[in-house]
Amino acid sequence: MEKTNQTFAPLARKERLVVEQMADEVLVYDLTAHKAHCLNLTAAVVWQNCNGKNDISQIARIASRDLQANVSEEVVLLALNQLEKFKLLEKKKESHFSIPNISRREVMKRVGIVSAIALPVVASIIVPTAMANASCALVPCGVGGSCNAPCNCDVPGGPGTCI
Amino acid sequence: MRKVDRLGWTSGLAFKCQGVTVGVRTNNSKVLKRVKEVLPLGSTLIDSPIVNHLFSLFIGVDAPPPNFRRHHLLYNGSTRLIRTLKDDELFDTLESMLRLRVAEFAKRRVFVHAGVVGWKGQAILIPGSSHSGKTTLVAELIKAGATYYSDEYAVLDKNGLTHPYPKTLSIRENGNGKQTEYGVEKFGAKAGKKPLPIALVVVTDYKRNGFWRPRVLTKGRGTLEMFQHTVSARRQPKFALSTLNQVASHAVVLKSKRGEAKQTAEAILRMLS
Repeated sequence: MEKTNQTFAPLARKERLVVEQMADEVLVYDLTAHKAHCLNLTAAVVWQNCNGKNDISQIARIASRDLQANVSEEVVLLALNQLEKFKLLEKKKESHFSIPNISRREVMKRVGIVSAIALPVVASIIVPTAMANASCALVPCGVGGSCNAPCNCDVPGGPGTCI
Repeated sequence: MRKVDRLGWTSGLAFKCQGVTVGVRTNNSKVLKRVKEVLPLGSTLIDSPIVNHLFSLFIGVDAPPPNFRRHHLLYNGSTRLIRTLKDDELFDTLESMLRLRVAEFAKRRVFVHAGVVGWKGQAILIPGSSHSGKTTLVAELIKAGATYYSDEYAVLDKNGLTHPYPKTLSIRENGNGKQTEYGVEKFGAKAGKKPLPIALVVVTDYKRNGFWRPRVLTKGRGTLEMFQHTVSARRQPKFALSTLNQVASHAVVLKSKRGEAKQTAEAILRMLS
C-alpha cells in the first residue's frame, strides 16, 4: 500500500460543480447528481489539494501546514474515501488504483481520540425538485398518480389534491 | 403543446412578479376576475404577449350534454396539472402553481420553503417540508408577540435579508389534512413590512412527546439544511448557495425535534431575548 500511495495522485473533480467557500467549510453542488455536499475544513483542504500531482504523503504534508496540525496519511485516505464515494474525485481511466478503504474507527485508533484536527467529514443531501419543495396543497395528484411524501392524495387513486 | 393550443382560448392576462413573466389564458373570460384574485403577492399586470411561463385554464361547459361531465382543466405549458369538477380546487391549484413558478424562477430573490417571523428587529426562519409543523410554530410565535412575515416562503435577497411574504396562514384542522386560511389578525398579530436580517434559523419538526433540545449546526451544515428547502436550488444553485451563505454567516442555526409548539415558541423567543 505504501508504494502505491507514493504514486497515486488524486485529482479533484471540477466540472459540473458549483463551489461555495464558507469560513471553515466548503459547500459543493453537483449539477449532475443534484446532490449538495458540505466538506468540513479537513476534507476541504484535502480536496483542494488533489491536483493530480500531489500524492497522498504530499497532501498530508500540505494539509498539516495549512491546518497547523499533524495530518497523517490515514486521515488523508479517510477523506479521499469519502470524496470518492460522493464522486468529487476524477476517475483516471488508465489507473487501476483504488483508494484503500479505511474506517473512521481505524483512523481514530491510529491518530488517537484526542486529535488536534477534526476528522474529515462530508455531509451530503439530495436536492429535491421545486415541486417536492412545495406545500402539499400545491400539487395535484391523480394525473401523475401520486404525491410527494408525506403528502397523500385526498381522493384515493385520484384525481384530487395532495393534502 | 399543439393539442393544448387547439382547445379554443379566447382571453387571458399576463403579469410580472419577481422578474418572472407569466401568462394565463382561458376559454371563458368571466373567470379572469377570479384569476386576478389568485395572482402571487407583488404581481403587476403587463401587456406583453411574450411570457416565461404559460398557464392554460379550460373551464368546463355550463350545460354539458347528457353523460358528459364538465371537467375543468389546468395546464402549465403542455403538462396537465389538474382535471376537476370543483371550481375551488381548480383555482387553489392555479394559485399554488403560480406561486411555485415565481418562487422557482425569481431573478433576484431566493425562496426557501419556510415560516418566518420578526422579533425585536430580527427574523427567525423555520425551514421545513410540508407537515413538519412550520405553520403551527409560526402561529404560536405570533401569538407570543412576534411579527408575521410568512408561513410558506422566506424571500431572501442577496444580502441575506428576509422580505415579507404575508399570505394568510394555512392551518390544517380536523385531522383531514385540508387547510383553512386565517388572516394574521385572528392571532392578534401584525404583518411585518420591512426586510429583516435573520438572527436565528430553527430546523425542527414535530414529534409527539418530543423535547426541544437544540444543538447548534455549523455554518455549512446550516446552509445545507436551508438549501434542502430552497425552491430554486436546482435551477439557480450558485445564487441560492451564496445567498444562504450570507444568511448562515450572520445567523445561528439550531436543530432539534420539538414537542408542543407553544413551549417551543416560548423557548425560542427566550433564547433571542
